[in-house]
Amino acid sequence: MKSISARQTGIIVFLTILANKILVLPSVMYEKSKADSIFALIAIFSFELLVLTIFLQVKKAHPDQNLKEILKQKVGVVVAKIVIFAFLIFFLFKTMLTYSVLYIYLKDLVYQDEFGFLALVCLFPVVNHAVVCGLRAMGRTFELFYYIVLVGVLFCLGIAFFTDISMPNFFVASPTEILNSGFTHIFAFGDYLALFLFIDKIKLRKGEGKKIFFFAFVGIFLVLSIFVVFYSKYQVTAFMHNNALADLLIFSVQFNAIGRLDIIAMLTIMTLGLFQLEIFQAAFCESFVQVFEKLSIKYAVAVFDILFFVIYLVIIKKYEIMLSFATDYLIYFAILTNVILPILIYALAHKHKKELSNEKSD
Amino acid sequence: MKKVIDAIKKYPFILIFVLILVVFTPYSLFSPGESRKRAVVIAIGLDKIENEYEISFLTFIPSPNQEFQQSNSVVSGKGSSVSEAVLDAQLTLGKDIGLSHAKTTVVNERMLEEDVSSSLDYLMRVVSLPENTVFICTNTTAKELLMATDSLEQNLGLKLDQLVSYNANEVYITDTSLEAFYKGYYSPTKSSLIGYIEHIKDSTQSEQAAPQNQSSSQGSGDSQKSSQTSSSQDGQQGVSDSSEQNSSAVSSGQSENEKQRGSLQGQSQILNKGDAVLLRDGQKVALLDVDNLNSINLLSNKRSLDSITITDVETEDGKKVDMTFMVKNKIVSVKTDFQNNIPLFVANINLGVQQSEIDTKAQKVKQNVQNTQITEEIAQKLEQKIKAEFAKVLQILRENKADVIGVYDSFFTHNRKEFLKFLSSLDDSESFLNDVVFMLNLKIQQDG
Repeated sequence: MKSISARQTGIIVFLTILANKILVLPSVMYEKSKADSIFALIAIFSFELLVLTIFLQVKKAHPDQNLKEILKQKVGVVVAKIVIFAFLIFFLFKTMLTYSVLYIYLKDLVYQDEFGFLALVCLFPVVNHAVVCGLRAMGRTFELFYYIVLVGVLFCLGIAFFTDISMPNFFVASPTEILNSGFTHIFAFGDYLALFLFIDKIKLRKGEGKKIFFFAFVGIFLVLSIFVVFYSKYQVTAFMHNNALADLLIFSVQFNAIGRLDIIAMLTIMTLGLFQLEIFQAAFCESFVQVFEKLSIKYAVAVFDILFFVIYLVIIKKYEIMLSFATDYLIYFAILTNVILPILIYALAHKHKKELSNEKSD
Repeated sequence: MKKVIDAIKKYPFILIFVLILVVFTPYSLFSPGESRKRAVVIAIGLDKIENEYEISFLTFIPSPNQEFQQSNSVVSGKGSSVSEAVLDAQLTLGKDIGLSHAKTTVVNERMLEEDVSSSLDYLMRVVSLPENTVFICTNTTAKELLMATDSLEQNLGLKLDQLVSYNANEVYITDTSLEAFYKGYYSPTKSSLIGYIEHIKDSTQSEQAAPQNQSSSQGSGDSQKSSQTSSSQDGQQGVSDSSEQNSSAVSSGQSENEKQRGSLQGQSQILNKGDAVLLRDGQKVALLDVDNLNSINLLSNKRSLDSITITDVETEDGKKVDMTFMVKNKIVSVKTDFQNNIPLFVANINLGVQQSEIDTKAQKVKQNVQNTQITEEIAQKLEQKIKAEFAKVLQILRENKADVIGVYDSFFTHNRKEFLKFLSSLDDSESFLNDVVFMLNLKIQQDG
């Protein structure tokens, strides 16, 4: 089996942590709980780190089994497939959300006109190809572009310090508003649950879990920095800016003479968006293959494309509807996938491990 | 052939790549250039005339030429709403508008009689007007100012946004971008400052200047602090005429026909005195001059073009002279506190000043005044003058319930609990500036 290294896994974690959080999210969270949204963010990230710990423990207990095999042993094949099917749905809509956020950015800053069909035609062959090539090929590509993406994000952050910024006012929103803000946008989180679906393809040596945590902390640090700098720069007008990372590059009038540096944000965001779409589609296809065992990854890719085109272009139709769908309905589903399922997986895997150790001692 | 089919079977991505090329290459080759479909707008003017909006776009016309001159034209449209006016202008232009390169947004004073943000909303949200565009107000119409801008660029090589950026760097406490306007507008004090550029139409000079059709840079100047440019305002009347007939118009400072009509038109001047409009709730409440702005700037560490003139200073030989000092260095620390539930705004200001001019009132200067020491009398007079100027601007701010000096923010950041309690104790919390005690502790020293 073609596996990926701990470093490549870490980079996948890094890329997924940035997914859906560096463009629209700072703005929409500000609407709910002002700059105190950062506290909601810290709380969710703390829980996500716990989920990452759960993943590493499950991986340690079941180094060579995939998620279906782990669950099948304890709760039977039907429940195992239901759990994986839940992930399948989760990653299908996750891809749609990521695509919508990327599309809004490109439409606002690059094309001005609707170009939905063109975007799909350009993006999906590349994404499909990456998924068919497999996780190892994707992991190597991510490794190659990791520093480019990192420098791009840091550059956008750094440039923001050349304009007038001042610390935003904290402790303005009530705890209820902060909780509400986190809850409403919970679907934007839980992206590295994809790791549970790739669990058998990850090769981890003893002590390499730290590497994954390192990349997770880098991702969390960048997201928090983007939120803080964005709120410091825009303050009360943060709700008007839909593309946080790109808007950090917008200069005040004094700097107009330098010209537009948007291209750096654009390349960074497009690269990030493409990689995130690849990871989420790969997670969908992995779930699909585990649920429908007799079908290969190529069928999974074809089914994904058909579902995406039908649901997105025929039913949802507009990216704005996708965003409101994610905040109005998918949040309940996200509670299941982001909170309940990881705990359930941990409980089942841990129980199985205990039983095994009891059998050994008997 | 079999080999090709085998290769495609082995690498289906090739087929997809070829398909994309087949579908999109002819489309790309035969579709018209983007500049034919979309006009590049470099400045926007928004006027309200009676109950109608008129929007004017200063557009860049891409054309091959061997000179390093940009060819611009002003296109306008009218409508009962901003969106209708934009559509009308697009019809006149025969193109969609692209506002990504719009660096200046001008409104006339009439627009500021009502909440201007409602008029800007469409431009911001729907047609993506960038937030870093310079936002200014003018006394005549935005359209006329944009037309005069073209000649400003040709005569002085100066763009309107550069002119206002200079003000933003040297005169205003903040930049005057659309973003800065919105920051003030959405702040608890709902107050913001935007630049003010005066536009003067001088019809008496036009008949002498226009036949020559020459541009003269540097007008006589009403004020020493102002910068001016004057030029024949070609095509201005023509635009007005056609706009009345068609409710939209296209004009160009370049066309020969319009140059021939120049004799009929007035001479136009752009006058930058460094003034700014004080807005509250998006409406104009006062016009601040440079002295007002300098007083506001006193509380900021930001460098500004600040000169202070004091009169009747007694020299060593007993003569009375007027002296002008330039502020060369400034260190400001602001503290907020509550004493007996009274909010105190204390500004400790260290000023390093240098004498720049001495008016001896027609007497000969018999000593080197370059290094005049700051005597106690001079320091006292400077302090009195600064405090008097500050009191004037504070009065304007209090009267208009406008806080553009960050008093609210300072109290909210450093004394939040007491400040909120204080606000709730007021009948009208918006006029909280009336109850804040301001203390300026000035320390004036010779710079260097």
